[in-house]
Amino acid sequence: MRWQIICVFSSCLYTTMSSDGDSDRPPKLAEEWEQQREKQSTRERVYAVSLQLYEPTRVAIVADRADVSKETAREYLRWFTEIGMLTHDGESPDQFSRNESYFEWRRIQRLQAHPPEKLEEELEQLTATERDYRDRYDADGPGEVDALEHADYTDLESVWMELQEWQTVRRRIRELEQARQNQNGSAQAPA
Amino acid sequence: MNTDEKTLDEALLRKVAQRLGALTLIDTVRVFPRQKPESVVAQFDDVYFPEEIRRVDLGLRTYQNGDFNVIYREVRSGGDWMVRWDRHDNPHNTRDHYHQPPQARTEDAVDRKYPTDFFDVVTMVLTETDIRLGEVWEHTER
Repeated sequence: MRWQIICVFSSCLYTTMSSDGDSDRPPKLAEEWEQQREKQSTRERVYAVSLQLYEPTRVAIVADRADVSKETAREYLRWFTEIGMLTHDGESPDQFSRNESYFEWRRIQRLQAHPPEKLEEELEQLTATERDYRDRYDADGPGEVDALEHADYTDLESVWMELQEWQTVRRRIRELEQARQNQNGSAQAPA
Repeated sequence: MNTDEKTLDEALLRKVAQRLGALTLIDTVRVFPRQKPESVVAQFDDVYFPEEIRRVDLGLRTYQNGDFNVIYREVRSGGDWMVRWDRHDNPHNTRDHYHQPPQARTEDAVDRKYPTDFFDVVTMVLTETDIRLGEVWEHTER
C-alpha cells in the first residue's frame, strides 16, 4: 500500500520558493539519489552490487544490476576476488559471492585503527549495554529468549529487532576484543 | 524464523550512509549510534517540514542474508507518524512487506514486492518519502 495522494503541486512545498519557478526548490531526495548513481564509475557500480552478493551469482546478473558489460563485470569480480572480498564459487558459469570472513577482518581492522583507550571505552559501554539486555530479558543470550513471552502479537517485531540488536552488540564485543588482542601483538596466527 | 543468526551488513550500511549524507534534505547521518546499535539514522533538515513536526528521520538496517528494515518517522507531539518497509520471514505476511502509517504496527502490514538491490530499495523509499513530505506541506498550508 503506497501513500495515496500524489502531490501534483509540489512547487507549493517550500515556503522559500521564488515565484519564478524551480530555482529555489531543493532537489527531490530520489532524484538526487539517482543522480549520485549516474555519477559513479563502473568500478563503484560493480562494487555496490558485489557488496550484496549474499548468494553465488552469475556474472551476467551482476553486469545487469551494475549496468556494465559482462566483460567489465567479470574483470572487477576477479579483481575483488583477488583482494579477498569475494569468493569464486565455480566456473562455467562463473559465479561469485561475498567472502564474509573478509568483511569480518575489515571490521576488526577498522577497530584496530583506533587508539587502545578508545577501544577500552567502547568495550566498557558495549558491555554495559549487553548487561542491560540480560537484565531486561533475564537470559544469558538472545538465542535463549522466546519472543512471545515478552510481547503480544502487536509488539512481536519490536522484540525481534531488539534481540537482533543484542546479537549485534555481542558480536561487536567479540570483534573489539579481537582488535585489542591484535594491538597487543598477542594475536594467534590463524590455523 | 526471525531469531535465526543473521549478521548486520555494516559495509553496505556505511556505503548507504555515505550517499545519504550527501543529499540536500538530509542534515546529519549517524552510523550505529549508541541507542540504535544496528541502524544508520538519517535526520532531515528541519527547514523542509513544518514546525508542528519536531523531527523527521529515516532508520535503515540491512543484513547479510538480504533482510532489511527501513523506518520513516515523524516525531510529533501527538504521537509519531511512521511507516516501515521490511524484508524478513515472518508469520503474518510475505517476506517483503510494508507496515502502513501512522503506527506501522504488526497488524498494519501488507504484502509488497521490493527490488533485489538495496540501493534500488532506497530509491523507492526516497520516492515515497518525497511524496509524503509534499503531503505534509499541503496539509499545513490549508
